[in-house]
Amino acid sequence: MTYKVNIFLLLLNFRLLTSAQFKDDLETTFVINMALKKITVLLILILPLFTASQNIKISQEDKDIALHLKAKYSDDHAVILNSLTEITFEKDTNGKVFASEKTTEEIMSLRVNLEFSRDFFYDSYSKITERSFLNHKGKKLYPYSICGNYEENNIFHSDVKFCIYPFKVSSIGEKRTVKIKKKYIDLKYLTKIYFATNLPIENKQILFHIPSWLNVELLDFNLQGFNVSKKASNNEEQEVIEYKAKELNSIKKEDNSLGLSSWQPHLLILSKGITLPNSNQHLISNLDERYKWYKTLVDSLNRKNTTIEALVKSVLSNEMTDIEKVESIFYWVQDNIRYIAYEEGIAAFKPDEAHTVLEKKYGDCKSMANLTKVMLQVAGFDARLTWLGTNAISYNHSIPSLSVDNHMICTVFFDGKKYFLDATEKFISINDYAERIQGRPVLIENKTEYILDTIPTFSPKRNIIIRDINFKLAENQLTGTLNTEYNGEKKITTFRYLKSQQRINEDELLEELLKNDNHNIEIQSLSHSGLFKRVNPFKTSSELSYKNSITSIENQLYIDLDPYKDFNFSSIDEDRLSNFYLGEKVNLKTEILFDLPEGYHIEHIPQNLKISTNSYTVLASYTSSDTSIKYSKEFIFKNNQIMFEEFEVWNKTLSQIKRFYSDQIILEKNN
Amino acid sequence: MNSSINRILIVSILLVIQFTFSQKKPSLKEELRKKFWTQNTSGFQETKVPERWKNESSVILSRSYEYEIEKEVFLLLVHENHYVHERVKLLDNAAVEKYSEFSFNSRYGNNGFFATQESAKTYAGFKVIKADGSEIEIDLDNAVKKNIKSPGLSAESKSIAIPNLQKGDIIDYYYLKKKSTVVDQETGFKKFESNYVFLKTDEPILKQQITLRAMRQCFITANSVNGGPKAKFSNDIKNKESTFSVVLENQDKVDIDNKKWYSSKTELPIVKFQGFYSLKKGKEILNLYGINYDKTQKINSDLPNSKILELVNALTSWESTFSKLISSDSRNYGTSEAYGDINNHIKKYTEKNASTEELVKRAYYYFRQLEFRKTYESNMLFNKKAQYAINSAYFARNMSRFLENRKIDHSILITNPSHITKFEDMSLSNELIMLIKINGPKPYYLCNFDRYTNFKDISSHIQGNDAYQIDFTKNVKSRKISKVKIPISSAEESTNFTSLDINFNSSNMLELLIHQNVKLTGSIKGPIQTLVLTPYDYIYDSKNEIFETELLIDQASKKKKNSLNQRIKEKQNQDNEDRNKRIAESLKSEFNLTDEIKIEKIEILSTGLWDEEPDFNYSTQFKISEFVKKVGDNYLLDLGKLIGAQVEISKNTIDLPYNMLHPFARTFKNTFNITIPNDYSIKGIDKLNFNVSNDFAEFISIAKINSNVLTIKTSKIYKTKFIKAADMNKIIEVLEAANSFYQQRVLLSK
Repeated sequence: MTYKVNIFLLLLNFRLLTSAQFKDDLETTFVINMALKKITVLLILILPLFTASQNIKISQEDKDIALHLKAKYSDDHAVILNSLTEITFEKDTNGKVFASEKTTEEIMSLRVNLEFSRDFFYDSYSKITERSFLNHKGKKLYPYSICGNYEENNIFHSDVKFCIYPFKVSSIGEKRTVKIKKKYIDLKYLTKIYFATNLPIENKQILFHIPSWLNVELLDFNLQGFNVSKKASNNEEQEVIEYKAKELNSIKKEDNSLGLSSWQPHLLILSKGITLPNSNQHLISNLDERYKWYKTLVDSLNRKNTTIEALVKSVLSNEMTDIEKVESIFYWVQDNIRYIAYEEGIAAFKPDEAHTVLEKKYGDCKSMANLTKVMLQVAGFDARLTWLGTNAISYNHSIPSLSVDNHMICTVFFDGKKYFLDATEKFISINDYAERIQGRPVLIENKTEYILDTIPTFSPKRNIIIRDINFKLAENQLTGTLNTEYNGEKKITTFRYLKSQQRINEDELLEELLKNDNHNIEIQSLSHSGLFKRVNPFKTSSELSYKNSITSIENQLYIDLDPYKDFNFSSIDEDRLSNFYLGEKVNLKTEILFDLPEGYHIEHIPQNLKISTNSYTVLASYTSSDTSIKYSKEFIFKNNQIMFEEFEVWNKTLSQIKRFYSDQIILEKNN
Repeated sequence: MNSSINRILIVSILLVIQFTFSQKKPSLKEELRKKFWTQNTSGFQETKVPERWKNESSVILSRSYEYEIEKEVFLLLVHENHYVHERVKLLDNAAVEKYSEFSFNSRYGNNGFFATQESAKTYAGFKVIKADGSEIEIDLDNAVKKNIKSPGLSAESKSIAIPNLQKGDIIDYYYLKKKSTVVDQETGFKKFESNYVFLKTDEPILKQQITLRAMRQCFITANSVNGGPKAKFSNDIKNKESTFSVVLENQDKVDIDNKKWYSSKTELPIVKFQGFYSLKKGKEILNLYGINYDKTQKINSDLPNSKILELVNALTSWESTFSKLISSDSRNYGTSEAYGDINNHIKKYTEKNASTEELVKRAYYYFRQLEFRKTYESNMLFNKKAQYAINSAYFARNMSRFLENRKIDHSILITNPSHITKFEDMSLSNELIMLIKINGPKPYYLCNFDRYTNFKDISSHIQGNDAYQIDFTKNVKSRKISKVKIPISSAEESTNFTSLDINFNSSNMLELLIHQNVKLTGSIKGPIQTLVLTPYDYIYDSKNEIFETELLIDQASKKKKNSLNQRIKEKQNQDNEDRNKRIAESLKSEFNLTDEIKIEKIEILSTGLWDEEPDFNYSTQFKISEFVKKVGDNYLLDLGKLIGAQVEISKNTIDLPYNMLHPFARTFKNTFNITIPNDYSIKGIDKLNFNVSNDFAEFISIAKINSNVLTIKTSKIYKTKFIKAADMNKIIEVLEAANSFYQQRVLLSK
């Protein structure tokens, strides 16, 4: 039950290998890696064979269209001129209802000798039932297909499968037609449909034929700013809903972005009920039904407490207070169970048995949540499973769709309060919540009922990072001391990273953390406190030299005082569609005290920077006295993302930050 | 056609027989379990880590590697079996993470019953040994299976998550990778891929053993090199089995992160080997790989002079053996001999009184154009996949044949690729490179070419190497072998001259307008030619009228000319756009920029394809707005950054115990002409002068102002190809100077 959306986006990076043009004089050597720890699955072993292309005469009209489109979509190699997706529903004699999704794409090449592929996905609840392909003249083509299990990063196993159909097109303006029909054997899993794809689309049409015996609701998302229209017509037998979209850009990977569903236009399909006399098919019509279905799955677990009781006994001691007991169990699961994502069919929604997870010492979110619950229950606490969508999902929680949830945690009711325990978040303390679940609505197990609640949201205070530097001038460079304090999200991700690395490199990695990618920073005599501690801040103390920070020209010194140029970014691309995700509500504070060298006076100090909007504050200032210059800098973001609407203002802010950083202190020798 | 049907029938009948027989044997899975879980050699019972490695992430307590090459009794199948067994102690969380999930290709091969090509299967087993000594065997039935299929081919993988794995545990695992290949009955010979087994890895190894076994009709060439232990050989003539084994203890880990600084195949202890299968009728070919076909099947370890001579004799002989070799290995040779075409061309087109060198040069270029240009335009224009490259033996054979025909005195040389093996250790088929030396008062060398190689160019992999030399004589018996040294080019011969004319944008002083001129000589050219030249840059400069490579447009009928012209134009536009994007990307990384840049103009001044103008020369125009900062009323220019990003040196690099191998000695000469804007003066140029030079490298920079132009000339030289570990500090000294220059700034003030 984790992330199941972005697969076709990932495929954008799928590059087809072509035979090498040059061959080295040396033969290829096969190096046996004796230590095949993680033998990468070489699915690339199978190279696509492209259907042969013929040199077909392309009309001037088609050429002109292609040239026009090339100017319009300059980064793309082909355009879908027309794409029609038709969703129909059928019933068999037993009253079982299926859905079909038939897509026809007319694709035009914008390049000479283009090789491209169309990729389609299916899983345990759907299959590709028909496929046909036509060339420019409408003659049938028989491309090779490559089909198999799709592998996603960080997911150990999922049931997603793919078929790739590779094409070779000879001329600019040449067309191919692709028709694919996909059948959904369980309507619950026909959840959504996107308008755009990895090729730009000139005209997109989505048609729903909804029979009168089926209750289907369509919810649209992110249509603002797109050229989309909707039309509905009715007759006795069916309702036809038509969406038309024009000029859709191709979906490109956007860095620092949350899930596709938060920014790409799409429709959620809610199949709510069947009114056929002989049908007993279970659909999810509302939140109650969704809960009921979830609950059936978790209630079917066979609990065996013996090993768990023994474990709980060893983890807890009599002297512990109740809150300490909850903490001990929560932390034990964090520390001892490895997270491995597993999604297949029903297993994507049903946790593994607690005792099995304990035996294996690994599990996915739902299995870890269930183990936490069972351990807490054995220890006498009121602990319950809890469903939610992380911040990668932007849907209202009351929507009766399986797309709403992608995560499971455990809620413990204790001392009149609810504690939300997410054991997949290593190093998180009991009163703390990771950014990705803060403010998210949750559905908590409550026998036949359920409880709706929301996980608390923290202010940027949670994530404060403080850097305190004392600099003086020595041997034409800045040297001094650095004290830092890390809290919240950055502290936790740092700990997690360090734990995943070889212990022997720990000191070196901590130095790298303090260098913050600046090669001119040198760290020495590093000491720290609070490493791998959940509750206290993580603090470091060290010596710091900042190389190449001084430019000495005649009797002047140009001083670049700030080694940490946070947010010195390029402006956001004007084509970007998704909000810019910062990963946390950033809260960065830097203070530098610079002792003026003797015999110099201040000739110039940069102008202060002060930007404040509803969502962030950026302050940077220099104040001087006879003996020193004090530099203070603060970045505070109320939200964890820069919203699309804010891009224009944000880009202005970025250029102001850039300009501020480029200015320097000028000291001049006294006469 | 008939014979191939027969073969299929035989194969299918035999497969049935094989299947029937195999029913009675214990399953391979069980055999492997027994073999590995009871393996008591080389410390497979070991549980303790030596004190000095206690802070490591993981330690390999024991590893064994066995390679076995055997022919199936009834079938024409040869199996290469790689058995790997490792026992690893996990000492921190990173090690637990690393060993907690495994996945492997369990099957790969042709679909259907008639597997005619190559297939591979992997069988694996895993167990965890807990600190209290209890053992948990992992059931592979729980593994997740994934597969991928296309018509004709399929692959399957298995992934397993290791349960209950914790710090302090030992993971003990094995796998057998069984590669099966159908051999060609006609030649009765098959050569397999070379294998290199490193005896040092990124984990310390307490005990390890490598064993290689050749069974009936199979042969192995093997060697333990670079300080690897001496091998033991044994021969069991009765059972037709011969073995090679090495045992090694207490190997510290190697610094994998710094691998780019040394050539691992020539610096780290290695066992390298290659398997062969041969029937009696394949013995002549086998002989060419240095192996005697005899009943002892003795594992071959060296390449004696006699074998080198035999190889050269076969290479220059026009009897069948070498042709057989070519047809057994067409992947690495041309499909048909080229000397006939070369002879005809020379006969037709050279003047009677042309000098020997002119003849040879013409032949060389004709041969190059024949291999690379002949089919190129139609392949490019109509997207046909053709391979363009030939093997050095094929090159030497055809060149020598032409020289023999013209009675030109020459020798054949055999040497090693220096990044793969040392000369004295060369033994595997991919470790031999052949070239030609033209004898005379001023001898010169002819090496196998690529698309852009010039006459007399010597490939950088072999420059400065030792080589075997065999002077060509008609009488094979009088041929003798001697050892010679291949010349090495100087740093000057491979130079990158880059000049940048830089102007400040008068309406935005933060933006630099740059005109770049790049001229490249020698070995430094190749990769940049590939980056910058478009197919038609190459095609149009191919001297098509001289080398019989007519343009498509000239061959086209009147009717087709128009449409062909249009297609060529479209292709050229597309290639130019692609080229601009490539260069912009390359400049972005060269100057370490964060913003995208746009190439405003590019001009190819000389493709470097021919001797008349052997330098590759082009110019570009672009803007950079990341190097100027406004400070107060003045501007600081990050002038040093104009030389491009420099190699970074970490603490670990300096202490590396390995010798360094550069691709070749080379020089980078930069000239920056910066026009100082009116009303501004430039300050701080005194810090732009550097001069660090030693026997191995040099960095010099000189800055001068001439009226309103600041000119800085820099020169960075890697003087040698080989650098001993002890001299590494000399390179570092120079790199540090270049890095200091990179950080320099100048001030523009009113």
